[in-house]
Amino acid sequence: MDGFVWKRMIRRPWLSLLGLLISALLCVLLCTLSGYLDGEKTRLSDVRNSYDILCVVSDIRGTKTDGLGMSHIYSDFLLDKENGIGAFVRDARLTKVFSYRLDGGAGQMIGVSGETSAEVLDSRLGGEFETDEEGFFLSEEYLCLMPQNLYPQYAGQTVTVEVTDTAGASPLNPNGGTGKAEFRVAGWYRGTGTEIYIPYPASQRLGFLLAGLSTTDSAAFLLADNSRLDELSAAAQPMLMPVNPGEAAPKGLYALTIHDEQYHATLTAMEQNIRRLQYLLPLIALLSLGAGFLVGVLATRGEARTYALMRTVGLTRGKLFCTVLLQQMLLPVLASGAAAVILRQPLPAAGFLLCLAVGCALAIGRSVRIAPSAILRSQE
Amino acid sequence: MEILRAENLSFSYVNKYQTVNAVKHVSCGFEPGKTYAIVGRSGSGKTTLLSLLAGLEQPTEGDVFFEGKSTREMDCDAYRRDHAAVIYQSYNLFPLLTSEENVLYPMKLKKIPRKEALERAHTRLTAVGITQEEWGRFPSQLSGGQQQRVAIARALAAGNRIILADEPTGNLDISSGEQVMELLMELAHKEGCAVIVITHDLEIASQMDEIYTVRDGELITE
Repeated sequence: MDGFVWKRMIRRPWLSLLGLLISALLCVLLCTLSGYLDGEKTRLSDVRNSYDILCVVSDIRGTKTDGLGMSHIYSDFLLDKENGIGAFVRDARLTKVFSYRLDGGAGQMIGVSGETSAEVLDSRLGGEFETDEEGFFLSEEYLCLMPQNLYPQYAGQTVTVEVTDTAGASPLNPNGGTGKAEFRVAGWYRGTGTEIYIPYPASQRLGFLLAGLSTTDSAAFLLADNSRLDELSAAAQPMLMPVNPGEAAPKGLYALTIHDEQYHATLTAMEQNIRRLQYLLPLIALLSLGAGFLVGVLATRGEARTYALMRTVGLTRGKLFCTVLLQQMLLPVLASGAAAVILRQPLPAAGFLLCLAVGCALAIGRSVRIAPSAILRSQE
Repeated sequence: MEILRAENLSFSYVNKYQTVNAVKHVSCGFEPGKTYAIVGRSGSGKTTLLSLLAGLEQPTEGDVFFEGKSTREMDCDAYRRDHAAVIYQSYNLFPLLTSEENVLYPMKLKKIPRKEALERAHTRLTAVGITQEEWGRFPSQLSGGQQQRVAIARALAAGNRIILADEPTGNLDISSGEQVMELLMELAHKEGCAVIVITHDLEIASQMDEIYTVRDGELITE
């Protein structure tokens, strides 16, 4: 490198410092925005992939989501990956409700497909339970979870419970049925209610035993893959229609409500933010080009005589161009390098430098085109 | 033996209104160890002739031969760097470099080792009467005469054998002008350079070994 470059820089420091200041500001701005944009894209991807979109089955008018008494055809449709919409389902929450009598006490016996099917069992909502049966919720055995206050009395026992499939609750099972069944007390849940929880498969077996068919009283699930949201509506259509409040004959018809409003609102806001940033980045790049041009113009202003003189003593036009460009780009390169390392954004920093260099080169190229004879003509 | 020769040299340029034939069919030769004056009135084409001899412009017609080789076939930047040095009326030193650095600059371009370049620079600066104290001064801190002497030292230090000076005393007082002319004479007579001085001062021209007069772009030998 021409040692005189340093000397000229040091002896004309305001220009070098101006270049340094402008380039540091713009480079940091570009790198920061670029980093923020990357972060937003990652967050958008996270939201797309992991946002929980709740889908709930209701009656066709959308007025109730429990006590539906749906035929097993519907629950099969929900869970079947090939002939139903099972491929779209994550964390299915199915329940079946019976009433029971036990030792003079009464309450509801609820078949649940998982801990998220009931608030008192869901640890994310503050619920808690304990069972000695691994795979409790998948079992077809007559197992039950007692409330914490009743559990000490029945712990480890097999109890005979009188169970009634709620009469009249289901259009498929208007009369219901009552019978006795023996349940092993397999655990407890925190709470002092009267509900007893049993595995959903066991509830289906019990329903069939009592009323000759299996029904489901509520069904909900989370969408397995949010990118297939649009496909779900179409795939559910034959069995589960969109909610229709004006439906004249609602019995036996069910609707699927997809709670995706918040999801879409979040995505839209993030996408808008990203779009704004994406418009902003080229603007900053353009600004960098302009800044480079400005620095180049300031650097070469009034230097025509010096450049002509340099050419006269034998410096080629190309070397003159490189010398002047190097003189203007040296500090910005150092500043951008530091910004790239500190902000971990090498690509935007390189892009910034390129824009700055192009702007600077345009201004310098104009100035170094001077013919060396101009110096003689000017004094003549 | 001529070191530099102009052969049927013509140069014209187009300005906004007309084509100007600045130099017309000029032929002349320059030998090492001799001084030459090119005289003429303002606008007669003598500075254009100097530009052509220095390789700053390419002639429209004819050729400039350096040691028998046409400058058309040479890299003119290299020709100026290695063989022909130009001294200007208004000194034209690099304002951000000290006297010493100004003299070092052409040697840097010639890739002369720094130690040798420094020795040469100091010798030349001393020879033209620039004191050690003044080596570190910027052009703005020197008088006109001192600046012109630094410019001469710069032209000499690189070891170029052709010195082309355009009105070198034009901005100097009489005493400084005389010193500069003495230096240029010494260059030719002691160091064997071909010194070509453009001037309109006939008294200066009369001190030269040969005088070429330019009138309306044409050369008249006297």
